[in-house]
Amino acid sequence: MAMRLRKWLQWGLMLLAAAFLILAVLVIAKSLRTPPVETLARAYNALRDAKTARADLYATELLTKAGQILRHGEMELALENERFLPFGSYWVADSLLLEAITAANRAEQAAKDRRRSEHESSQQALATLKLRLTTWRDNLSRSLVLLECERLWSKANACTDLATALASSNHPQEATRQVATANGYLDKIKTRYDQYQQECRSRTERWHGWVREALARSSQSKTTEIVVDKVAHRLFVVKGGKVVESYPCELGFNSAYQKLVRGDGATPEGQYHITEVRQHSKYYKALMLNYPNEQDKVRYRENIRQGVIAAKGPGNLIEIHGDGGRGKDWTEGCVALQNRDIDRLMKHVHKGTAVTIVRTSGISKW
Amino acid sequence: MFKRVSSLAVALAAFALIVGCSEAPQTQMKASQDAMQQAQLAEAVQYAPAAFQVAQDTMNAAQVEMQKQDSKFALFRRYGKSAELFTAAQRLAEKATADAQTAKEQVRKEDSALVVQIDALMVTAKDAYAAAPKGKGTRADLELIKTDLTSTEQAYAAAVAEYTNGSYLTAKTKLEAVVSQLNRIIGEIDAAKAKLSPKK
Repeated sequence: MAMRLRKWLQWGLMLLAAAFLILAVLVIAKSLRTPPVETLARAYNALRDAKTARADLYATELLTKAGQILRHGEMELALENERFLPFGSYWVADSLLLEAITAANRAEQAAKDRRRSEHESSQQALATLKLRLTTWRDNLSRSLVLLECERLWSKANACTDLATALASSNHPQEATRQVATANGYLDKIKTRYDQYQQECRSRTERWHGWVREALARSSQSKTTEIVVDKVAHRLFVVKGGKVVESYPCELGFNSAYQKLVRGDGATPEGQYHITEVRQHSKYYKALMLNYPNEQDKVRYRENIRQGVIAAKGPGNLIEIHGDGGRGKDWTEGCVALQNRDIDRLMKHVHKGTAVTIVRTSGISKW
Repeated sequence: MFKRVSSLAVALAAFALIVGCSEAPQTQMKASQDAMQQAQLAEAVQYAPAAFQVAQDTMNAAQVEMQKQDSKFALFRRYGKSAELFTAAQRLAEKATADAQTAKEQVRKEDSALVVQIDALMVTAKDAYAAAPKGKGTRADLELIKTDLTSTEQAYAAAVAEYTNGSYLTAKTKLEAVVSQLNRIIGEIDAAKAKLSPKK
């Protein structure tokens, strides 16, 4: 009995030793396999670098793909690690991790390229916008005052300032939005300006006709006529059909247009006459005109009927007065001369003297 | 002889079994992952980028160390270092969260101060506009100033919307632009007043 027990113990110990030896062989074999942990570390760094380059904003798809490949690589690595038998291989996991590094590097480069491109594009767009803004400022300064366009320019200018601030503080997408808004305002200016030019071209013959009538009247009757050329900002004194004097003048603060309604700041265009000569006035001296004349009243009623204007009245108290010389159009619709010029003008005119106000006279032709 | 060798083998196997067993730091890993997520939710990437980067790098190092141990035979795995790294990553992520919250709160306070400043400037600008002499000579300038005031109010509303949505950095830039515009408008109103002829 004791012999049998010893024999069983011996066999047990031999089996245990054999098992241990096999285990030792397996451990040694497993330890000879090198897991790609360095590749894994490089993959993490590559993804980190891509995120630092803001690939999450600028190369979202590429970054997402790199992340997915990395996760797949991690799963393969974990699966391989769990295998008891050491006869597997980390080849698949290693390949996936290398692919993840490539994808992350691609995402990083794409993000840098796109950021650079966006920055350059944003700077270019801002530079182009500022040039447009300056060009329109020059155009508007050279023309009669188009108040509507001035308002739009002011809005475009404010958007440009904000776009510049946003671009400087690293908000390129917000800056691009402001640039687009500013360009929208400038596009509206162009549309309105082109419409205005078209309107001027279509009415030039009528204005020139009024001036020819004034010159003819002056020539035939040897009387004095006044012609105000709004674009030229000049008041001409015509005697015997010839210009004898001219003075610079300033107009309403919305000088580009025909006066339609009280408070619109436009200087009226039409054929008028002096109704009163005032040697003392709020603006030094003044020559009252008969605005609104019959045509003005008809136009006003028609515009009310069509809903073009509010019923505020056509306005009145349009004069040629002094206190000019301010260097810009500033009146409510009157024609302002410098005081020395209105003194000289008053020597030529009297109550009843005809006054023709046109947007453009072409008077130099005659 | 054979018996001695067998006994030694058994003893070694028992020793290895007792000493070698080590558990993966799942608890620490989960805690650090949660902390990283909290840091991202706290916008640490925008408001504390350096701190977030350090936390992320530590987390990555912990993952690598854990994979390294996972690749070994179970009896020889030692997870002590990876557990320490996960714990450190959690601590760093929590710091990044705190830093982000502090930085975000700072920007929010700056925005609030700008809002107060703008409210006061807006009142000043509107009062100045209302009090400006609206006679001839100022009408043109005041018409444009009125347009500028309206545009500035719209820009202010857009900036406040960013602030309300929690986009404090974008709101700050826009609010600063509004302050600049209002100061310019107030200057233009004063210039328009100064232009008016003294004898009127």
